[in-house]
Parts: sequence; C-alpha cells; structure tokens
Amino acid sequence: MPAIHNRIALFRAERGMSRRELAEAVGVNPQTIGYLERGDYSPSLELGMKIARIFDVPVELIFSFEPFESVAQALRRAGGEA
Amino acid sequence: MPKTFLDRLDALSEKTGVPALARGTPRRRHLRWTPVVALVLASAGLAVGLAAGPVWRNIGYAVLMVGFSIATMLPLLGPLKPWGTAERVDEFDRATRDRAFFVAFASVSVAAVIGIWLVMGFALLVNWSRETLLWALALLSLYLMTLYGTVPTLHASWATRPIGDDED
Repeated sequence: MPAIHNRIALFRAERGMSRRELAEAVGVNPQTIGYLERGDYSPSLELGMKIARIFDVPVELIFSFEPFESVAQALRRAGGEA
Repeated sequence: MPKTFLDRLDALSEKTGVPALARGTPRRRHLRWTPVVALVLASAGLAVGLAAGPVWRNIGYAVLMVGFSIATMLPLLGPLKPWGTAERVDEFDRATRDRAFFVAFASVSVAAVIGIWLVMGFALLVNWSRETLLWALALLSLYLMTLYGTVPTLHASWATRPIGDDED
C-alpha cells in the first residue's frame, strides 16, 4: 500500500490550532492526529475529507501519494521565480 | 488543610487506575516488555509443568499462573481499547485493535494445534495416566488464555510508537 503524505501539521500551525482542537473538530483522539502527522497511519477517506473541510481546502492540498515540497524549498523556488 | 484519612484513601484508589477506567479516561501506555515477561513465564511454566515430576509440576503451574495473572491486567493498562469501553474509540484505535487481535487469534490457533499434538504425543510416548493428561490439558488451556491476553498488547505496543501529550 503506498504511503500517504500529508501537510496537516503545516495547516494546523498556520491556523494556530492545537492537535487536541483539530481532533475534537473531526471526532478522533489527539494521538490519532499525531500518528497522522508522523505518517504512521493513513486516514480513511471520511477522516481525510473531514480534515480538509476543517481547513476549508480541497483534500489533495493536504494529502498526496508524493511527498510534499518543504516550506523552505517552496520559499526558495518562489524567491527564484520572482 | 491537612489531608484526612478519607482523602488519602481516595488518592490511593485513584492510583490503582480503576476510577479512571470507570470514568472512561484511563492512562493507556505502550507496554513493550511486560507482555514479553508474561509470555516467558507462561512458556517456562508450561514446559516445566508438562515435562517435570510431581513436585516441579506444581512449581511450573505456579509460574504459569503468574504469567496468566500479568496477562489479565494488560488489557486494562495497555494501548488497546477493548470492545465496549467507555473511552472514545476512533478509526485508528479500531485499526490497531483489529490487526493486534488478528495476530493474537493466529498465534492462539497455531499454539493450540502444536499444543494438542504435543500433549497427545507425550501421552502416547510416556503412557500418561488419565489424571496427568487432564492436568496437561488444563495447563495448555491456561497457556492459550495467556497468549490471548498478551499477544494483542504485545503487537500493538511494538507496532506503534507512543505519542506524548506534550507533542502539541
């Protein structure tokens, strides 16, 4: 089964949301959010869509089969393009 | 205000973890080595109980019982949330529990088949009496129950890495 990468921690930090708050919002335990962020667990479609809805973004912005670009890399790329 | 005797009793009962269990908020932790200890004790107890003479047989039984007693405590303290618990059980808990019990049922099945053939082989080779055969089957049953109690906690504790409360 391919690993599913995610940017939950990034979105959570951007919104200033704690793990516990996100967990309460989507109806899971805070540890489960921790396992998701660490990549130890791949969520169900339902949980993935619930998380995407909380951050008000399409699900593919948070979850991907390919690793996401790091923030530093994205900034460097954006700086190079400017 | 100094603590009364009843306050101290309350604090003592909290430390046992039973009130938290009743409230549905037990502190679950990864128990990586406790199930191993229980399994080693139970296996040693079973081996001694089956192979040794009358005196050592009782010692083997006692050692097996210690392993079994530890095994009965593991579901209360380990990382797996049992069916029917008052705790919140989410999809991660269910997935972990399903995998752990699948491994446990497989282990118990394999051990049961091996154990039955072993007991039957001993009974035929050494010409066991009826009482000895019943004793051996009782030990085997206890051992299988110990496996059922330890393997799920063992699997779940090693399959996942703990996440601390402070990792927010």
